Amino acid sequence: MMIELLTLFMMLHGFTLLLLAMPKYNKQVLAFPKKNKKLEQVFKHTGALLVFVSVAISIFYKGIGVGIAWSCALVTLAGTVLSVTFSMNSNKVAMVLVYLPTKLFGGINVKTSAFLLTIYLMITLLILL
Amino acid sequence: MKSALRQSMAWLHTWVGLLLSWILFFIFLTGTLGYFDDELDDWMTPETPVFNVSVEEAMPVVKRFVDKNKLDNYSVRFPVERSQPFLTISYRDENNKRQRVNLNPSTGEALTLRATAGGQTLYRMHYRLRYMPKMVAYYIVGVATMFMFLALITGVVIHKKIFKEFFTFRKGKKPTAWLDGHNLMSVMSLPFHFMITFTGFLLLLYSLMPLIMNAHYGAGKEGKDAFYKEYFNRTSVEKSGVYQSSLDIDKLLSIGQKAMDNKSVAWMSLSHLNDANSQFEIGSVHQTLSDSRDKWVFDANTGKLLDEQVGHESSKSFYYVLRSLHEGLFASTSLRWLYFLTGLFGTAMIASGMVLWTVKRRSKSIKEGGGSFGYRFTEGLNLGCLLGLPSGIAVYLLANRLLPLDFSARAAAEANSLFLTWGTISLLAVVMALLKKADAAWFKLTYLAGVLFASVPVVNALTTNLGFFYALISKNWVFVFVDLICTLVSIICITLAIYLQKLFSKECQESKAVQQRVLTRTQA
Amino acid sequence: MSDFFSPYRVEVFSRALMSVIGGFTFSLFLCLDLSYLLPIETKHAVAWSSMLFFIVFPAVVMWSFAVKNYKLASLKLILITSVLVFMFWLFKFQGVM
Repeated sequence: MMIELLTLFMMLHGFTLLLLAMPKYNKQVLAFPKKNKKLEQVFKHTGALLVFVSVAISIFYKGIGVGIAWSCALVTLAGTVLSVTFSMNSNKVAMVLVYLPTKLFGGINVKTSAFLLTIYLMITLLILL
Repeated sequence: MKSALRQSMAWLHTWVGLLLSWILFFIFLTGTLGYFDDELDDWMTPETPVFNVSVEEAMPVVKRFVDKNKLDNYSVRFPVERSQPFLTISYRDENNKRQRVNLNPSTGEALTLRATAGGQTLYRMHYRLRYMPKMVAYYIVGVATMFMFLALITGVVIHKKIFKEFFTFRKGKKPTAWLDGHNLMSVMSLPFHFMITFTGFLLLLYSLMPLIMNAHYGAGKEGKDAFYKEYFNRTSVEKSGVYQSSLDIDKLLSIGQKAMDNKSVAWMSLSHLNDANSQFEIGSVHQTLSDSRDKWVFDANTGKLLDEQVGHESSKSFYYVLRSLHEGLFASTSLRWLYFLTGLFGTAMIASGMVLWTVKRRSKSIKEGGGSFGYRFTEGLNLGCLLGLPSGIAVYLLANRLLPLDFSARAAAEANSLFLTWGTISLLAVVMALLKKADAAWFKLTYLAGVLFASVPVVNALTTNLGFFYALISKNWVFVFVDLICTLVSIICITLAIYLQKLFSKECQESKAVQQRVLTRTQA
Repeated sequence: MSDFFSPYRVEVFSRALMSVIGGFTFSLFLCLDLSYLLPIETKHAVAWSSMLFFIVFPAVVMWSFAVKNYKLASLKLILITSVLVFMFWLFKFQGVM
């Protein structure tokens, strides 16, 4: 159950990061600093990393076949939920990732993704060990 | 013919999609419900509880039954997985007729379930359809699957920028919003749909394309049997007639468990007890994508391992992995819910395609004073299908509760009630559409669907002792979730009906206002 | 009468015919020939070729609607399929391979 929830949230957040990395979509988000190519790159890499780790955890804990089936099912669900909610209210969706960093550091910048990754690492280790 | 590839594929996509959308809607909806076929079986036999009891606890009951009936050929399925809620023993009686009993694994009492079509019939209709011979159904489903596969591939070809447009959704403006909704649900579940459609072919493979098998193994039934025996490793053996005493079943079971390593036992079978050719077979619980056919075969007299069929090679490995992905029998509860949700997205994709077709041609038809006969007829069929089938499913569930228990043909009657409802609603929809009352049909039939689904939990509470609150207290999740989902569907239907009613009355007022302006201008 | 058989409808019908009948025959004989040519056990060759059929057939259907000159294309399809049928005859009835 915990593994399932963990992989689901990793997938969701990974996709959100990938979404925010695209200029076509992040221009509607107020909290996102505009035309910051470096930030977009970092977000893209962090997002991809989270997705990759989510798939890796699924495979490790459920075996190859079932792990991949589970990841595909997550991609479908997370992707659809994200697409629909983002189109309805992009700012609120971005808040999911943006709230804590804004409160603690006063804005989004390159360090945000490092912060997010650290949190994830801590949560993951807590759950797996 | 449009020369550009994308335009030609768009044309093919629309026509292929429309022509088979009704049957694909049926296949998708019944298939999606089929992921919970065992749970629906349980819901539709409310007097009979389900069991989950270990092999060790159930063995005394097995032995008592076998000894009492003096069985020498039998197979036992233990109540250890969701697809096996009882202790089931299959055997041949004195007249060599096949018998199957469901036993309470703790007490050994025989369980009588109410006659019902159950979740199994709903699931089987998904590929076997109804009211027609097997091969006809297989060919229809095969053609529909081919059309679906084409719709998917052409859909991707049309959408060159598929990855950039992954997250696009423009709310509000129809038909753009419907198109975006259709695309959205389609794009994210695309890998799933390619998988489901192609694996669907594989499940009917040797029925739809037996010719290659026939070319190498011979025509007709003999050819098929020859191929199946060689390919699917059938391991049956004839009785020899020579007496040889077999090992005790407990001993055989422990030999089997040792050979299976850590895997849990799901079933076992004994053939030709006390004969020289006596065999004992044992199988494991299905948990991965390639273990559905795993079994260990022993000589029942000496305990020697004769054959260990674990996993597959070459084409069979590919085949079974893909079969497992489609059937999802290996899936745990959480993955099963994901399969269900994704299946609903697929059903919604087909439904939105049907609506999109109607909506796109709607404004043109309003201007032309109702549209051509073809348009109105198709709209009627579309809306009859979209609303009639879900309503039919609600009636299927209601029929299970309302038909008298001693009515011998109640199982068939449940299935018939589904189709009767669907047929009646479709007929009503077509008639109303042809009479230019399609708008009224849309929201009135949606209200009806909402009412039907809302009555399922109510009727359940009145006719069984597993109403919602009692089920919640006794943690009977199957009953809780069926009630919850019916209620949710009902709320969605009624909200949609209210929205449609407002939308159509607004459209009506607007077009009347336009007509009024045109009239006053021409008069002036 | 000529309105019912407009050039558009004739073309659609011809392409549909080509894709269904031509496509089916081509795919069948391609896969049949492959089942003799594949250097693996017969039962697996049968299995792989049967599965391949469901990939080749849709591809040919798409091609039938995408290709520009369908009349020329159907001639090419008939020609290639004839070669494939001849090869099958060699394999099955003449014991080649």
